[in-house]
Amino acid sequence: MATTKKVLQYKEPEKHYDVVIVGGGLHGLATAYYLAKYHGVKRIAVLERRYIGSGGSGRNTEMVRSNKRAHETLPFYKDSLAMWDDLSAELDWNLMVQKKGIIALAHSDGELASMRMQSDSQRRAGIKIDMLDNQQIKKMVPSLDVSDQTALPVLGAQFHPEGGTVHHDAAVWGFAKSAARCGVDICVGIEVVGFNVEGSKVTGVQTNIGDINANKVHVAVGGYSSEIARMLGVKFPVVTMPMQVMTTNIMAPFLNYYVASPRLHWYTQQTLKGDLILGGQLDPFSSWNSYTTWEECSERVATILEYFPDLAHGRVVRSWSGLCDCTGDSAPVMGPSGIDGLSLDIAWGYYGFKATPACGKYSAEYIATNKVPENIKAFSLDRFFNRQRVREVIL
Amino acid sequence: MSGRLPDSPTQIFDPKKPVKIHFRGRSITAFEGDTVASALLAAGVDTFSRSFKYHRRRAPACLSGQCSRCTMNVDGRMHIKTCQTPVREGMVVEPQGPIAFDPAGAADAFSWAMPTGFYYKMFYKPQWFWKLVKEVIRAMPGNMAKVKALPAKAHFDSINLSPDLLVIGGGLAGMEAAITAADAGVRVVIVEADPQLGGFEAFQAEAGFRRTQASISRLAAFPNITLLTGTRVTAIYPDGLAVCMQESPSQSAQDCVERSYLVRAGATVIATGAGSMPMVFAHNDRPGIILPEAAQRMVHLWGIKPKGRVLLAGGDDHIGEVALALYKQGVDVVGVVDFREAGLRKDLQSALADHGIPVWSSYTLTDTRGRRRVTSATVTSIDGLQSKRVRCDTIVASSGRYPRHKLLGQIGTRMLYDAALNFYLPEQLPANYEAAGRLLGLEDPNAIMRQGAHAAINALKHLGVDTNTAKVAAVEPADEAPMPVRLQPVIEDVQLKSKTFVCYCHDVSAKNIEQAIDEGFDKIETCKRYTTATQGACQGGMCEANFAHLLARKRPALSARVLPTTRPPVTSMSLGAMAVGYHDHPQVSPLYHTQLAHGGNSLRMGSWIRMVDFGDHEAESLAVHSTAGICDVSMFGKFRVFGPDAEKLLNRIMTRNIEKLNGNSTFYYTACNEEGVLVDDGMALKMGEHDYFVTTTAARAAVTEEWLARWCREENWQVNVVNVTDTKAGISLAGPMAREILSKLTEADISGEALPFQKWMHMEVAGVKAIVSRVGFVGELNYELFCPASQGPYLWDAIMAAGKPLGLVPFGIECLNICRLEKGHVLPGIDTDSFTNLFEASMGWALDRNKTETVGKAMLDLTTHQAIKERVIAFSIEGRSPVTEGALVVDGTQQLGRVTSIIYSPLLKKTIGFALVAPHDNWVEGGTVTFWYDSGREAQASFAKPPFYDPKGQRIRM
Repeated sequence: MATTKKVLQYKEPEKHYDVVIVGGGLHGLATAYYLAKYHGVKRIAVLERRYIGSGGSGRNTEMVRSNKRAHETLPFYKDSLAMWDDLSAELDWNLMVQKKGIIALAHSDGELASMRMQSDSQRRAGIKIDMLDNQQIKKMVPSLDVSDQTALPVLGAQFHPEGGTVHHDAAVWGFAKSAARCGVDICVGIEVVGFNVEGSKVTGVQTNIGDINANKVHVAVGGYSSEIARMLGVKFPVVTMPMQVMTTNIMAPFLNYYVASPRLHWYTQQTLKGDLILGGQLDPFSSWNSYTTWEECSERVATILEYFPDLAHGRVVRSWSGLCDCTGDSAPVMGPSGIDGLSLDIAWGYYGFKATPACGKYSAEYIATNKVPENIKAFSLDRFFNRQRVREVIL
Repeated sequence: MSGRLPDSPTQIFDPKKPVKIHFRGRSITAFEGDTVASALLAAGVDTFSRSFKYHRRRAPACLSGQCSRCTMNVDGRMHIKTCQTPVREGMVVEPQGPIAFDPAGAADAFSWAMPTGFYYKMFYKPQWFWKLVKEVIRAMPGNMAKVKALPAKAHFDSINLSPDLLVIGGGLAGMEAAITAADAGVRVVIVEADPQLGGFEAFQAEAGFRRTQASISRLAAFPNITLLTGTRVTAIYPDGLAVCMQESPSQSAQDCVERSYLVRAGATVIATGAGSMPMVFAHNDRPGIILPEAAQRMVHLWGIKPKGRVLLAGGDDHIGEVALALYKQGVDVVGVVDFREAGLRKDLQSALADHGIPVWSSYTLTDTRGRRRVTSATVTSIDGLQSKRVRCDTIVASSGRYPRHKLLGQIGTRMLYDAALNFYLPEQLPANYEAAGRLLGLEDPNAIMRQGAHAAINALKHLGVDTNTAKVAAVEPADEAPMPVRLQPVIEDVQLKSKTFVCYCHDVSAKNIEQAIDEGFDKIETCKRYTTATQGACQGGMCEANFAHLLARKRPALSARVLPTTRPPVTSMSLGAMAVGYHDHPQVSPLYHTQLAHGGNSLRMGSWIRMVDFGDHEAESLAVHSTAGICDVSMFGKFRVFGPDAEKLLNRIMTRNIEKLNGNSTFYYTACNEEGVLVDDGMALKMGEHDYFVTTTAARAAVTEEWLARWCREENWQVNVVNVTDTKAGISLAGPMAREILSKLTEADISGEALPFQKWMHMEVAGVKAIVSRVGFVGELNYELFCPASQGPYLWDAIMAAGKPLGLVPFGIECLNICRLEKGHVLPGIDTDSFTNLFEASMGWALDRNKTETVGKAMLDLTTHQAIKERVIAFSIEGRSPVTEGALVVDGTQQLGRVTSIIYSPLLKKTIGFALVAPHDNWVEGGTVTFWYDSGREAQASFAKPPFYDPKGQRIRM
């Protein structure tokens, strides 16, 4: 065998750390990596109760993009998308970045208008974006039905050439490997059950194996942020809802782009392996279970088949779901929590994967400097209390 | 008959009924009752597919729908398990990719260059190199289906069933459960994946066959049992819905190709049985290496002799029984390898010895050779000291049984490893589920039947059926213990090689798994993801037990042997079959066809199909202003709200005060959500004492009922809400000639004095009873008529006939849009978004500040002390403008907002519209509004104060 150099290395936690990061998903691991590598923080622990990348990090649909709506957040997403390009080399691990391009279909004049608005906002932020007519769409995705015979005929699309996919597990392991090599202690099987707060300052966390002291604590727990809120005795403006996704048997390459219909809540892409990923809609209820349901899966498949009729004989082999902790304005919460030393990187809904590098970088910067970086100011927790919400949602 | 064994009672094919199928351009004769795989095997086909990574030759291993090696394209359908698909005359079967000569097969020689996760460790520098490599990777996999344009829409269908009891699995246990329950009078559905009932027993030579037949004939006597064969339960969802998929339910390819049965049962017995675990040894994937059930099925069901010399290997007595049974059918059995020290049961040993079949106890298989199929095996003593080569053309090998537990996982029951038994047993099942049969490790047929009956009795108890009746009570609960399965001993370095396959779907070898563990991927979930084992087409059905065993060998601390999470579906389901049952039903107005006949151009908008225009929306708008126009407004939500507390409810919803509405009056109202955000508007008509007719926007029609219910949920109010949206047609008649047209059709006094602006009355129009109100939406004298939906088309035609001589034209929503923008009407949801509150929508005038209980009022009160965050402004541009909805409103680099509505008014000869913008100094009379659109073009407009037309509102009061 060539090498058996360890890729994943776990440690038993020590009693005291400079920074404890709660949550061993992508955001937590990335934050640990940037803290150790660029801010010289020595004693960092990442605490994960299951296995690394077990939450949303390992359940998402691998989409990376910066075609968001609210113009104040665009520099952040633009930065994040650009960072993916160099990460494979930096982490010495192939993240399988594919900037294959994302086609978002419009089915009404209103949607076209909204896409024009978004596109122009994005262009002003320096993000490449194009509007496509049906002929162009058909040329790029020959198997897509752009005729007027579909339920909601395609009227055009927005094309985001720099969007695409990154292998989600590769990203988890890449950050974990590099973080560990920078001296970060990654501790699995450690469940945080409470926080120690003295006065208005956090002093550590309580875990299933006892207290761990920390000068600073960073929360990056994905769908479980409301559990953290309960431990802290506060309320975060988040609702956790599952999103279901399916994958199919492998097919010869026929779909070179990520195709999405925001109106009908579906998206699909063909992975390197050849299977299709199908998904796109949040469950209408709050839940912390990772079940899938027939209603959602069949509706999703039906709405996709409407536009890819030749896939009728494709076969679904697996379905799964991930938890999305959503805010009312479809933007996350990053930065101060209101408790000294406790910082947040939560409420990433269904759009957290693409933001990983920037989240890691800016969370690390905030933890290290105590100053909120410009690019994440829009994501403050305060915005919910002074009506400064991010204008991300459309309707 | 061609090359089959002599007729036997166990066979399920009919040698008198030949069926022709086409395979790779040649015609193959099969028989009714054959599956595609059995027909191909009988015809001597060795290679069915090429493997995923190394493009190795593969042929069916299980013949029972577990593995994915037999998958091909059948009649244009991809990834079809040929071992589960009955033959049909003229069927076209094609492998997915080259099988005889596959250039990509060269990959097999370079497996050393492809250790676990090699793609994570290379190709990424420089970036352009990866872009090339990824295209190569995409083209590499074996057995890839091609997506082709379908000549015609394939037909799928779906049937709903709601039996008392669902029995999953038609083996001995399942049949006994079904019979027991049916005997107690409940309705039973029994689902069997194979085309025939009997499960494991169906192919256990004649003894098993007789047992099966006895059960089958007892089962057939019950009219309350519905039997679904050839049907797989692919999933049980959290709400208890069991989805069963049946391939080709009819004999014609043009008919339904796949059908789903959606079963919602009161209770469920899961008796899915057990399958054989593949043995772990080098090159254990060659064609000709099969599981015992495959050999048994070939011989007993389809009369096919396994090719040439047959070597058997295993670690239980069952393998000896199979060897004997094969021998009795004339198969050339060259030996039995048993990795147990004690070896086979004595009677089996002597029986085999009598026939001159050697038995090697304490030996195991370590390697095989062969190119197109296996030609020899290396048999090694388990101490690794002695080994020999045995020439053979078929190897029947298994390391023991493994429960088909996946449905249990889906109902939330974990499988726990029992080290003494070397078997996985379920934890406690949910209340309305029972497990039975070989799934629980049972082997003795009598025990299995007793236990099946017992499971049914438990299910009946759950259903509330009296189980103390004599017949049922006679059944004793089974106390049989599961049979232990001997763990396969592993000879390090001899057996665990780079071609010792664990996961066949993805070509993951034992060495791959060991390497992953060494690299730190030692949790089952991370190891699974890193090696991709268990993630292929069979979703772990063939490999997860061996995978867990290997992991446990290296990491004894994980010896609990947790299995990977099971998720739906158990076996794949086609997208077409999944999509059945979901229907998109756009709504159409009762006036839809009438308008089409008048030349309307329709467009789907949200849930409605509406008329955009009748040819020229600008001409229509001019007609409305000069003569008259008629427009369909049936899509408005329409509600009757009545009862002593009607005012309380409406006052809670509406920002205006309903009590200010006098008899016969109407008013325009707005509604907010809890945050004070404008969500709806419409008209309210006072019909009588505590009785109101309320319209909403089309978008809110579907949610208003729930919205109203929500806001009186905790009140003891006496109020009724009736949704009359679909029962009434709505017609808007507008323009200076409107009164003259209407007066031709009604006796009622509709003079300006009798029916002024903001009043309404009941009247007969063209003999149709209608509610007619005076509104002002389009800026002219405007009547809104609501009549029974069925009479809408008649009324429309009558009005058109009366109005045509006076210049009446039909108009669509584009014209409506021009007219409402001329009047400066803000549309909730169009000109506002989900953050825009009533003040920001510039509609603060519609808030009654004295009411306290209005939804959103508290928040609006709070925000009166805050600076507004945004506002709706109006603007105008002389002449036509290329600016469209969605254009940005900017000030230099600052982005202020966006254009929400914009249209050219031919009457005003101006382009007018609304924008939703942040506060800015320019929003004053004479201020400039700057647009940035279409990748950087700029345009300017003047800030304006609506209405643009008839600011005093004289025309609407005519």
